Amino acid sequence: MKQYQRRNRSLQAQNPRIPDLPNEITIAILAKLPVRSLLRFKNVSKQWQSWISNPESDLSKQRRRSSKAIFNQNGGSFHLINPKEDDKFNFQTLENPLSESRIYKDKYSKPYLRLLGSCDGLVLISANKHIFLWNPATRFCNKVIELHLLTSDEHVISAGGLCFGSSKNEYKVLFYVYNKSVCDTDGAYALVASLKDKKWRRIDCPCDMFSARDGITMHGRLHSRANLDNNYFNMHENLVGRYKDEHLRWNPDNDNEPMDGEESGESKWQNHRLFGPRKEVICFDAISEKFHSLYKNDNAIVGLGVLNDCLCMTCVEFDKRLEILVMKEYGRKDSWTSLFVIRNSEITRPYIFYRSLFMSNNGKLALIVRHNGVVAYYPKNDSMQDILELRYQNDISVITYVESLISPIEYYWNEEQHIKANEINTH
Amino acid sequence: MAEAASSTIEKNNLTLKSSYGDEFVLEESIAIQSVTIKNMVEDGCSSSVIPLSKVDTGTLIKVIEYMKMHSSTSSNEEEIQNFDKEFVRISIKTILNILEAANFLDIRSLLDLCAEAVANRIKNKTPEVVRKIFNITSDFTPEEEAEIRNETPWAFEGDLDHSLD
Repeated sequence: MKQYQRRNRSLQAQNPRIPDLPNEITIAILAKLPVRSLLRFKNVSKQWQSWISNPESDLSKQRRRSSKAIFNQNGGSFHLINPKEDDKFNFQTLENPLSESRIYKDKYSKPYLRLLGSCDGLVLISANKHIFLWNPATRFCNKVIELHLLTSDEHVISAGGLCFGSSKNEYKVLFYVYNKSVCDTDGAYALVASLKDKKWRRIDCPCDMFSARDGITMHGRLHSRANLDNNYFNMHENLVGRYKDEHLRWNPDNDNEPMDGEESGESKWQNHRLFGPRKEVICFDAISEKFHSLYKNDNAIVGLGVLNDCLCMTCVEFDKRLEILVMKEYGRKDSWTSLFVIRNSEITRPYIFYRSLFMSNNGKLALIVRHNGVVAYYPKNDSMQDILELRYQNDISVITYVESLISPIEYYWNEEQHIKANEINTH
Repeated sequence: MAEAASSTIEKNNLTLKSSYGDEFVLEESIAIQSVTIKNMVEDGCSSSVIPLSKVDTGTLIKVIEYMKMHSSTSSNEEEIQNFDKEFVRISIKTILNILEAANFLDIRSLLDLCAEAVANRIKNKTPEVVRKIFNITSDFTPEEEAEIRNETPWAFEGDLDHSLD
């Protein structure tokens, strides 16, 4: 048998042919590139641009790393919480997205910034009435719509966020709104707008707007916890006149839960409209614009989040323990599974919110946000560690975020074209 | 470096044939790092010569060199790491050829090594140079290119690498 019959031409080929690489190889190479290179290589060809920008592409799926979280306090700058390999978290202050915005470059000296939601690596933020789509990875940020309610003294947006309808390839924004001075159903409604036509519409919603909290986007749908619309306004009297500070509008929980005396007992808590338990997980489908229930139980749901790529909720038994459950198979109500139970004595009231943001890849710790800060929780020995303490309690907005390289260029706001479409009747 | 394929040693040998017709005899235990070859062996189709019509001789020699090193029981982790580092000190085009072969032969670790190496080599390059390396013709208009550049100007700033290799 002949072995190693080398032919010189093949061994020392001066110009190896350019191989006709299968797409999966090119994608494997691109998956190892940093963001800056990928953004530049969008310019190579339309095929490359599509791989890099499309969140559903194989490249985006390979690049998808663990979730991160973005938070801001008191309307200030945005910070990224990044899980690291060694069970620690890395905090990073993000560049002010509005300084890169083309339209509003110098208009705002220091607007009150809000985090409204996140979908496909895009973050919805607002500055006064202006709403922007921002991609923290590409630093791309542009105004997409506006809503005067955001600066209204009467209206409270209790929850909401960004969702995506894949069939029409459009992003939509949904807000749960109530008017704290109007005592009928006209004062409470859900508002939705497509970022394409930029028209705000009221839609029917089965839940009690006062009770809606959180806005977690998964599979393009927006998830909140709420109570259904029974005994609609029996707590209304308690609400009137409670909100003074304009900053309360996005965080209606920003108030003191009744703490002392008999009145803070379990039954009081159970029935308390603002701080009492939410019993449903509802989701809004951007395509059908219908609401669905994903969970209903007597447990009080005090937070929604994303753990291990699953929708997760924190449930609490009054003054006993917190339980973190995940929906293992998205959309299947019977797949809610207990992930761990927190018995730690440092978990105390108020249970205004206890949101699990994400878990490290090895499952060793979870990041949990509560009214007075962010904690890392270690399920193995039921211990926790403060990561961030808030100067002003309850005044934190946090969203879970997964990096992508989408540029939402087709959603530009055009002042002349859209200002009319955007008006709604807000009483 | 001739293969000591002595027939007195009782080892199953396989013969790999490059696209140029060159044949290489390799121990089966080494060759089955390739999932493609492993499947052939398990299906009993490896009795004769395995033709690799898409792998040229130069590339096949590199792949065999890699498989031998990575199946050797005498080399420690550090030696393998150093080997890998040296292994990819070749032209980008050669690495792309090895990638194509590694993909066909289904050798995961070689794929990862080469993909990482190419990524490292091209990460600071301009889109124009990358097009040449990957033999891609741009299908953008100059306006479209300018638009992409304007979306994230920071990705196009700084010292970029204009070399082809």
